[in-house]
Amino acid sequence: MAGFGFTKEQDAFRLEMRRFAKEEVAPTAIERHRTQTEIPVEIRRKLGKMGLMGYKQPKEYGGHDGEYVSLAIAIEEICKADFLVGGNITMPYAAIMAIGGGPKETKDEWIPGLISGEFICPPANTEEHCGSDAAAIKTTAVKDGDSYILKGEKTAICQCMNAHAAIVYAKTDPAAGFRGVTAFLVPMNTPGITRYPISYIGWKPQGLGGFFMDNVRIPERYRVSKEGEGFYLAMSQFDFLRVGIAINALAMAQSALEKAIEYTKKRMVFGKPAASFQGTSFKLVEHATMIELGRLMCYRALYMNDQGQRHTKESAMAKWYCPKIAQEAIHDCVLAMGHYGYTIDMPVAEILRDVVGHEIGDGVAQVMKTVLVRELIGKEYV
Amino acid sequence: MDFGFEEIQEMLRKDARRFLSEKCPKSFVREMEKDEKGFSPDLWKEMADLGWMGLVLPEKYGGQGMTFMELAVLLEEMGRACLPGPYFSTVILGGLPLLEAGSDRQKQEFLPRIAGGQMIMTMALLEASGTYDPAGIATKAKAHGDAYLIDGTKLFVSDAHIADYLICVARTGNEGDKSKGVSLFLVDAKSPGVTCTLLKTIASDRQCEVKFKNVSVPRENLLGELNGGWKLVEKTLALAAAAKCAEMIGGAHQVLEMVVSYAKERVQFDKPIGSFQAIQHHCANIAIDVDGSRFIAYQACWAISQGMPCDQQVSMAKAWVSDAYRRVVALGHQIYGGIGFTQDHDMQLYFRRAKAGEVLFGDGDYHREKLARLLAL
Repeated sequence: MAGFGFTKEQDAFRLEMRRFAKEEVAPTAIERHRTQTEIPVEIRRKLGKMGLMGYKQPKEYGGHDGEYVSLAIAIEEICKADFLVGGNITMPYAAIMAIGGGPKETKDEWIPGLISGEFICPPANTEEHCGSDAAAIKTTAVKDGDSYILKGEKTAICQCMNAHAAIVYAKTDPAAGFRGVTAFLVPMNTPGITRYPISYIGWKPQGLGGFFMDNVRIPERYRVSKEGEGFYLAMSQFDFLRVGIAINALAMAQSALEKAIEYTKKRMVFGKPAASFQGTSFKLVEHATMIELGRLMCYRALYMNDQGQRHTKESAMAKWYCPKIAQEAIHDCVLAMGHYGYTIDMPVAEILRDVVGHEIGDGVAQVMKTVLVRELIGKEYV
Repeated sequence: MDFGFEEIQEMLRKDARRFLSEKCPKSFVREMEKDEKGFSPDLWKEMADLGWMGLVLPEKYGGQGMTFMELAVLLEEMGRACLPGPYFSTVILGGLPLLEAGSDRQKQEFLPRIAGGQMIMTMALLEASGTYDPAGIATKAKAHGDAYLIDGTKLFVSDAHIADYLICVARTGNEGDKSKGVSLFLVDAKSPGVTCTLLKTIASDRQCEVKFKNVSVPRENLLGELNGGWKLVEKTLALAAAAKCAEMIGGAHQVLEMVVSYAKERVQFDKPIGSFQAIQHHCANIAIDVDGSRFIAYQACWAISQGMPCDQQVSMAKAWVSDAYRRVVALGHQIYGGIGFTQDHDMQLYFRRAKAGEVLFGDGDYHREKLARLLAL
């Protein structure tokens, strides 16, 4: 990202991603969201082939050293067609970053499959009684010879039902609070694991679920953080992941806006196109302004990431603000299309429902604001 | 369920509107903004002759024995006219607490003079902390023979520069609970040791810093219970917040009428700007805020007039009206454009008063916090 614009290469890349989204993602998107509980492996492999999961990853595992700004261009364009396909680009990074802290044989075994789109390995921290209060987990991991025995339940785990493994956060020292959390890679076919599905009101292809771990034995090589350092590992990923959700939501809003503009230009009311009424047109252009503002926030946070700068503040700001303005924009787009907007023939109402998930995932606005209070006012004021 | 006003209230409204439109035109409002005292003694006398100062005072004290609802109607008209002067201070911050907690002797001495327009009063409450919290009361009153000696500095005291008497809120005890140990005193503003300095405010309302330096106040001028005064302050603040809401909706309603008539007259792109939907929606949003504010404010005023518990209604009203009036004047400026931003235009008079009203007796956040506590949070 040079100055406030994109490079020629990035502009060309955007067009390429737009073409891919239109031709290979959009045609199946509506049906997928109504009936499927998984993003098909064929699509994931295509994402992998384009290198979208390999940014800043080692070349020997199929990675490359592209910039996150370009990655965001891909996410943005693909999310306009299907926000969960775009979400499937960011999800593997959480696993790759986690496994990156493990021994070489574990990295060799899992990272290439994550970069190529073959494997699904969501992070699993949430438990029934705790989400954003990540240090309050009750799952335990007890050392037993050269293994660990895991006990507990994880819930509201994205991609759970389709996962090959999960990055499970468990307490190796329950008395030590957040300093007692350790991260493990847990293959889903390990004996003692029982999965169950959960239905969100939207996000169907995300395959949401939970799983019980009843004395699950995990070899030591699958411990991917040092003992007691899992919490820091989980927290360190958020700055990146939060911007991913923010720009994902904005892309949904942008697609809704494009549909609303197209519709209101054609729709006649009182003898004129609906778009010629200021009550309609001004709202749409206001939302276009807000979306542009949100995009600048996201791209700047990612640019800072590319420069190796700390961007906790910028990503928390983007995470509360962008899904909120996206939700407001999509809402007004539904209203601009009246009854048609509310029917399932126009999938804008469906993404209005879905974008609520963006407001929640990786921390609701209030949680982001506590992050910001810590950053801007001081941790003793949280 | 009846959302209408009674005949007597409608008559009062009509009379007040006619009187104020004649006696308090905007030229007078502007003149008073520059005036040293900030009010006209002649107009004050005329208002007293109309019975306005004693509107809610009992007849035996020279009042009219009306209720808080009628007072709210009158305040609404005063807000509409941007009436300058110490009416609010004298009647709401002086007369009402006296009526509530004064001894027979105190009522006999003060209320007829308030009703007759011979006495200007106010309450000296806030201090450096600027919060409506008992912990902020540091001004001390110590018993000394037949008197109390008051020492301390009060801030943001409305109309103290012209007041004959001040109700000073002072600390007389220092137990753990800060709301205990607060007492109220009726202080002659001319007492030795009282000094008053005008503060500059954006709405040109007159607020003062009042210093009390070993001011001697006779024991019989204690208003209400010794050490039990904070309850009276809380009651007065609730009434003042509701009364301020009534005044604010008067201003907001006037803004609505002004912008609607301007939107019909002002032509741009060969059409009145009121024919553009964006302007129509601004006007509609103002109308919604004005009516919403009116209902929520009068709900609180009605509860007060019935002697019902009213804290929740008052906090809801002040939280809502504070924000709504701010939205109304912001949209009003959008509709007027550049002309409304000039000193010569009336729009700015309302903009400035909306800001003053918003912060007085607790702004939106203060009352949301209070409401949350009333909801047992």
